[in-house]
Amino acid sequence: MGRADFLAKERISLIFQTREKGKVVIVSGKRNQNRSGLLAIVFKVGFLICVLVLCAQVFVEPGHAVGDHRYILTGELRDSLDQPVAGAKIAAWNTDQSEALAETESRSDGSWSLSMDAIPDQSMEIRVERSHYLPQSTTLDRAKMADLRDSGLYYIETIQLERKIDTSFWIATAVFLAVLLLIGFEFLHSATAALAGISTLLLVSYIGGGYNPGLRIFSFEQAIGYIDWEVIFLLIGMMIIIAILEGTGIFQWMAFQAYRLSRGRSWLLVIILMAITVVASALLDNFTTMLLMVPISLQIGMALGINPLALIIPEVLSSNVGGISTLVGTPTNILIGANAGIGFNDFLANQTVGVLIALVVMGAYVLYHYRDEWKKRTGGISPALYAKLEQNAEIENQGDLWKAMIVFGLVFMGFVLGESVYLVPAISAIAGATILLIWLNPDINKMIMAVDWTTLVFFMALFMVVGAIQEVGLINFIAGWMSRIVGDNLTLGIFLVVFGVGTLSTVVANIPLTASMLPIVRILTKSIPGAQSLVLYYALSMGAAMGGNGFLIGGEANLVTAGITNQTDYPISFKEFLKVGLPVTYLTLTVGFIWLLIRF
Amino acid sequence: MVTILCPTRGGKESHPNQDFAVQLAKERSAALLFLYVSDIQFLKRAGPAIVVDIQEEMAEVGDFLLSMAQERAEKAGVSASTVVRSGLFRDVLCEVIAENEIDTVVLGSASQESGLVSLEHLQQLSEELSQELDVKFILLQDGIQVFSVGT
Repeated sequence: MGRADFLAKERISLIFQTREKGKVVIVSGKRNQNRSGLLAIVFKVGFLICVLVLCAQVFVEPGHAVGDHRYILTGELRDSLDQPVAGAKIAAWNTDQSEALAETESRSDGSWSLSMDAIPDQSMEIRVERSHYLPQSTTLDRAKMADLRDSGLYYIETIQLERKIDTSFWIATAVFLAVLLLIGFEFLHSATAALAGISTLLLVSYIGGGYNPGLRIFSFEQAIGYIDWEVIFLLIGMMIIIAILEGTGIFQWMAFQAYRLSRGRSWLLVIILMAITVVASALLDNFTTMLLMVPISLQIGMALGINPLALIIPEVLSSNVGGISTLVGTPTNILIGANAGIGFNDFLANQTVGVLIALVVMGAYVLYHYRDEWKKRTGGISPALYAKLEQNAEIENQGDLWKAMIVFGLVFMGFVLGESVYLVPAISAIAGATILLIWLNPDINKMIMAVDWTTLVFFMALFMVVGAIQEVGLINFIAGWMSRIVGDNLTLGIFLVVFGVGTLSTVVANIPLTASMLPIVRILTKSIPGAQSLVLYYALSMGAAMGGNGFLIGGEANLVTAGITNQTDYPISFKEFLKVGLPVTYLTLTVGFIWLLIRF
Repeated sequence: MVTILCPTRGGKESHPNQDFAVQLAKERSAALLFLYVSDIQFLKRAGPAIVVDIQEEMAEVGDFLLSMAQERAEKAGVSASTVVRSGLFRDVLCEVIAENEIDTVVLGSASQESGLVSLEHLQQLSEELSQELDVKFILLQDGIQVFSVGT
């Protein structure tokens, strides 16, 4: 019991230390109050103390108040994949009586502690219950009871809970698959599909669960708990900044400069345009990037006398890959970053080189694929058309552009430097958006409308739907299955995540796919030796983004690009996209996989 | 003076149809009007919010495409004017025909590979509108007349 003893005592001493510190804060507050005598300061200090005390009350988890009790039992709950089980009810029972001696709930790390004033002489039963798990119990025999009586503390070895497959498991799984299908086949808008999913799950839980406990999936509070608010606020901040930046016309201007610089050499032009798209998509979302790049690229392509698709398809492929190197480059990276605690600098350090190599390989492939286009030469365009093109690519408001660039720079400094002071990216983004709103003073209603509430609602509903399959254990089953395949082989794990997610992402929308894969990757990261470097999260990031290049339906950016080009004589057909996209997908996935093996 | 309307999407596939309209205008000493219609309905199904003024961007694309067509007509000795509109093609076509007292509409169907609108669909549209608006419709495929309807 040596290690167990130590662990338990360590926990308890921490609790006492915290309580001591709490007292010191209050006493020093009162001293300030006497010394200053200023009413305003007294009021402020008093208010602050009240807030601190209230916060302390709110954030103390159940089962912490152990100082007044004579006997303390502690332990840990784990599932079959050695993951902590939170929210389980643990009760100590006198084996002779029908009443619980004490009850508590397991914390987020699976630990729990029971405090009692009195204990039975002979034996005691510890019962553990949690929805979606089989109930478990363990008995403290006479010897263990003697230990507890002597030292006042006993650490019970880890209790393993087994998952239970009941009706709620199948309902949550069916609803989750239905949401994916509704989104995939565009029967419903993604946000509507996710909302329909969470509504169904909650209605089944509350209405059905009242009649049959096996139908209870989770409570509303538990569902809300699955929403990642850091992701939501980061998206809101970035959406406001993007709305201001895109209105300046900077990316169209850059595309026109590329046309000028290339002097009719279309192979050089496509490389520069791909580079601009990479930069744009690392800062903006891919959808907005393509809305900005496609119209001007159409005009440039026609001005050069080549098929504009030879410029536009490489651009859309670049936009899907370019965003991988930054935290804010793709919504999937935002999800991964918030979930795994991977910061802006981590993405830059661990992904950028791999992404650049993948882009070089992609560039080489598209140059080869469209080789006939680069040979085409025309006499150029008339001065009138050139002037029109230049006019269409003008920067619209230089003053706003500079201000937006300065704030954008500050936000990025916040992303880079903020990690050292625990400043989460969401705070930098929201602060940047607020500074821009104050500085530029745009119509606030217009700016709030620029925030994509549909996507935010989609994210929130999706988090809850994925939370439901976590709750009922589907994620554990998939992760367990993957663990058995992978075993201790990290290389195989990386391969499976990169190529498995990459292949799925060619047809499944990458946001729900990533949200569903995150809990699986979290479990695999803990179970596969060496995966603690978070390499599987980077594998997920690469797979989800690069896979979007496989088919025309693989990403929103692909579809919006096709939508715009369909307005001209250069529509992108499924086949046309596939011929370039699919080889590029597997080439870049291979580069990404090799890079991760080298890097980690 | 009679006016010929040539709706076009502006790329290389449209050149034979544009040339036909230019030649027709030259033969009849008619005015030539090129029309570009963008329809951004597809964005309604898009997930993300549209922060870009895509309607303006598409108007710029249309303006550029029609300027190219205009230069092409000028080279053939025909002065042409241009109209860029946004909306459903059928509705916009009716509006422009009424506004400009159009005599003949030259509609081109794109080749099979890249065509978004079938020849049959355009034929049906021509028959309906020629009756409704009393306008002649000439239907082409790759610059060759395949159908005509109206006075």
